[in-house]
Amino acid sequence: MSELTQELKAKIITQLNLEDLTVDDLDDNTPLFGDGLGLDSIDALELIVMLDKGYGIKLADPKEGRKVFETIQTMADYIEANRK
Amino acid sequence: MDKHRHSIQSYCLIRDRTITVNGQRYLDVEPTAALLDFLKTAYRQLDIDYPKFHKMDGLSKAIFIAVELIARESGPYNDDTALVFSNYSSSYLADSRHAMDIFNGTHPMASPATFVYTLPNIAMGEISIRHQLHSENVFFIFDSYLPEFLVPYGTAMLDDGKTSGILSGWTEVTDTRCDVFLYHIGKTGGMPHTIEHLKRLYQG
Repeated sequence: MSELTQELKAKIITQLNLEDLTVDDLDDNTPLFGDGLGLDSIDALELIVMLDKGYGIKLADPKEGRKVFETIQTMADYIEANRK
Repeated sequence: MDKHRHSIQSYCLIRDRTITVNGQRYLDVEPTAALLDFLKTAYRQLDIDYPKFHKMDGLSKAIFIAVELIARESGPYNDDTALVFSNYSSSYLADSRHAMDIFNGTHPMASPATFVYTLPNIAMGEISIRHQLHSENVFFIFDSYLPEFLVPYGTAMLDDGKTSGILSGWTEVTDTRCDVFLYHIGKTGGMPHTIEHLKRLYQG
């Protein structure tokens, strides 16, 4: 799981163009949106595409995304449970 | 026209790898430092927590830092504070990166993380959000810094009562060069808002 969270951090930094940050700057339980990492709705689209392309997971229900994308850890948990 | 009717409350100059505020040195790093590393160092020195900074392009980051430093001298800004910016390269830095991502196949599909910054007025939007400004804004593209245009333009805005203050200046940022000169104009105090004075301040 730790390997997956590290991989997710690296992908998020690359995909979302957060080049000021390093993997070590991101905590597994930091909120991705709002006061945490400060991601917004456009970033949410990038994360949805990342799940689809990287792990073969399609998020059909937008309400589901809110919980999945809460933190790096919740993303990793969801991927572990649903990856194809 | 009374050239001294309005005043420069404070100003910030970010040139190459040095930042000065009202003529005082704020940050000075190695001239060979990468632009984004330099801007990140400046952000960290500000000691604020604004995660959105890390998503901005170089132009927005440089403007964000300058406006933040000016606010510490003559802010907080009134919510009608207008933004009148100008530069030569528009948002070329982000535009070219977006284009190269597509051409190189890094992001064959348009990546929102890059292309949302492919307009210079995005920087003004970021500033408006950060400082809660509900005001006029305009971003001019000039061949060079042009106080001969900016001064009468700003004066007219203040005289017409459109705004009680203006953040104005020159914001040229490329992948190697940073030349940002922003100043806060108000109706009282500070330095005279004149073409001659602004030329002198821009020289550093």
